[in-house]
Amino acid sequence: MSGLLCASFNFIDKTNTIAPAFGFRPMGIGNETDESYLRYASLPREIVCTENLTPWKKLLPCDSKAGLATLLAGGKLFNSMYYSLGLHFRPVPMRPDDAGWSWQLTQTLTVVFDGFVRSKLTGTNGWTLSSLFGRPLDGPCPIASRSRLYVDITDIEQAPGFSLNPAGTTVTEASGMDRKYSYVLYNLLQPSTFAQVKRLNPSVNWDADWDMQSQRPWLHVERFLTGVGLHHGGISSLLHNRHPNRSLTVHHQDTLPWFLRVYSHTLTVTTAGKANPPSYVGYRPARDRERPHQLELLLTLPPATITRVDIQFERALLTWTEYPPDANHGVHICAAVVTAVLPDSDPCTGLCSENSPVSFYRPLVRDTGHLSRLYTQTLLVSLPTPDFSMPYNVVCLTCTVVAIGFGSFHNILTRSFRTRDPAQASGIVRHLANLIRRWRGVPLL
Amino acid sequence: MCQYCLIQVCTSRFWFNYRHVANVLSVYRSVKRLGIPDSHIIMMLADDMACNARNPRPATVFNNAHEQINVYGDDVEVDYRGYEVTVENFVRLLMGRVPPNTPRSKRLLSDERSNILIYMTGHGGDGFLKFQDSEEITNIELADAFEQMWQKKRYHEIAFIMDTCQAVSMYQKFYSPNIVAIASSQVGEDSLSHHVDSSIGVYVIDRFTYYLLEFLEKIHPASQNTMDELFRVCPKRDCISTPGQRTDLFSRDLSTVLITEFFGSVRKVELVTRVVSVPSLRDLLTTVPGKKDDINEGVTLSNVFADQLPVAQMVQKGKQKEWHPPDGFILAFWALVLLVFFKTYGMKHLTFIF
Repeated sequence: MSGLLCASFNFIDKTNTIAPAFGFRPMGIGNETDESYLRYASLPREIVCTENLTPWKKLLPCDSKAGLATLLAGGKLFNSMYYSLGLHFRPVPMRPDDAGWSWQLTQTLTVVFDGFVRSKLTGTNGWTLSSLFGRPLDGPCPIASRSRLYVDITDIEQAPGFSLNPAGTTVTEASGMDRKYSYVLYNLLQPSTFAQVKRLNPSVNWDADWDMQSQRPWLHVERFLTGVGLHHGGISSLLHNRHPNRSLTVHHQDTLPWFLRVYSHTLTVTTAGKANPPSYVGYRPARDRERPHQLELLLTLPPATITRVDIQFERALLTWTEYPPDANHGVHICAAVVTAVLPDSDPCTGLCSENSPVSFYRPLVRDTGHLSRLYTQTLLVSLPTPDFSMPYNVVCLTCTVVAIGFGSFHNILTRSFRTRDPAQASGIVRHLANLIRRWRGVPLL
Repeated sequence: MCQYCLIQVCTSRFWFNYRHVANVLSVYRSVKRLGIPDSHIIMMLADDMACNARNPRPATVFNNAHEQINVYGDDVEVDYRGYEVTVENFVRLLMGRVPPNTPRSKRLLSDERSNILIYMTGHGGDGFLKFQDSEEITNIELADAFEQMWQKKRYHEIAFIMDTCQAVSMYQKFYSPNIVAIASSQVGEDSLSHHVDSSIGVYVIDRFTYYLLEFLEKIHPASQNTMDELFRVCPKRDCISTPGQRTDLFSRDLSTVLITEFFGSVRKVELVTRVVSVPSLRDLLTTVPGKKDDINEGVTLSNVFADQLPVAQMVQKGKQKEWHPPDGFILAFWALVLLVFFKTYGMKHLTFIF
């Protein structure tokens, strides 16, 4: 995999792998898998850049030469607020009632673009496909069985001055009691999409003075480091439940490296100042250089509250060869994973509920609601570093002392001294030397 | 098996060494243009400049202040990146002694007919090249690695280009045949960078590589330019340092060796008049007795999806408390042990304890 995707998966070893007990369940059919074979690992220092996108695109049937993948140019994608590449591989039924099954590979790319084009001329705000991706769509991938573009207009449908060109098919989908999604669908495989325009470039505009009020999602997590200095510290997670009257049950999983000596007795979970003990705590302590800390919590978040999970740790010293080349940068701590089954009314972009027309990859859950897995920020912990120049200094000093001390002692013991007639210098040199000697007042040569 | 292989190493970490990554990517781009595919190129970049948080233009690396060409491009594959660029990995790659689970794209698949071009850039000194600010490779190690390659028949000819300070010292210890080496500066001289891009804020290319690229831009796959023109590509007035070269180990006369024999992938085509029949894949599969077409044959999965968040199971597990002995049990246990001990061996031992 690491050669395929140009990623350093070879850095995954037993020191950053855990066996999660409850956080991750198979997303495909056939759930009689043995949980003891499940492993989870995370490389927080890895960078995602064009060298990962290039082989990812090469897995697509039309590569990046036709269809929707022509929009994926690195320059625009990575100049955004957030981007995420994914590969999901799972067994799925061939048809809903069929006994046959096959493997399904789903490739996902999530990008969050910031901002839209403000046009002072027309007094509107808006965006077009080419302003986001750098180019419009020329056509579908001919070997694709489905090639669709959905524009989610749920939040801006009601805006004054709203316009969307060119016109597509409107699809509405109701999920939950209070949430209705509307999408505009452009089916690239239908010839009518490209009948009027040679290149498809949907553009959305609305009045400049209208503020979009989009609802925030019900569950939101942040994580940060606490404490000062290079000895002690703490990690705090804040879990926000923004639903006004429904409490959420979430599973919080943490992987901490072995060199952060975590004190499990300092684990506190508080909601609005009062203790909120978790229903399940699964803690597996670390073993030096063998496995990391593994902490799993099942928390109940009351409605419209913020829950805080705190834990304290102490930093350990590593041997000087174990530090990375840029040791003063610090080490990155993996993101915590928060898993929850959210009600369908959760304001979520696109791919959320099972009934949504765009969700053909989401794991199909039996409960009502959809699975939401949030990853928090990675943390950067400074480690107390030794003076890396010391081995060199010690070697120099020791060798100097040995050379001077032992060397001169050895010379005195083993050298025999003899007198030697001084070599006669050439005439002019002797003459000059005598001049200087006469001036100095010492015997002449 | 690569007949024309390229190994490129950028050994410097940190944002201010942007120019070393730009050097490597520029040579990569030229060589790809001349025909060597990604599967025959091994690129080692010690740090990421394109998606670095300091880069004002993400996913781009420029080698010129005019920013005309994005040398990072849209089709780049980096094989060794970040902390993987170490002396050990580099030497293992050259000698072929990589760990057994190394993917093919990270191996040097060369044999005794391969022409290998090795380009290294970074910070160097008299007799060493610094890797990632924490270790060095010496010229003796490099010479020994090449000798091992020769003895294991892993190359036919090597062209070694080095753009660092005091680069000539790195090839002085070579002793294996069929190596031509070009270095950007003599011992005691520094290789200098070319110009700074004030919108990015760092030097974007080194002098020797800049003039090398100017020269390579004029080469196309059918060029007849020869390798000895590379020695004159950067005179002292342009490079400020004096480039050096070593040709005594090379068996052929360099004025007859084409540049495309190292930088490009000119394949020799043999025309065969004999008709060769190739069996189809289906025939091959069906002739193997007992082999099924579908590897999933016989494996049935129940059409049920797993419970993604098994809350009830977790709550039940949480209620199970580990059994602890009753309070005071351990104290009472040890009191009993002491009592039995003193009874057996006599009360006089008590004075030693209390």
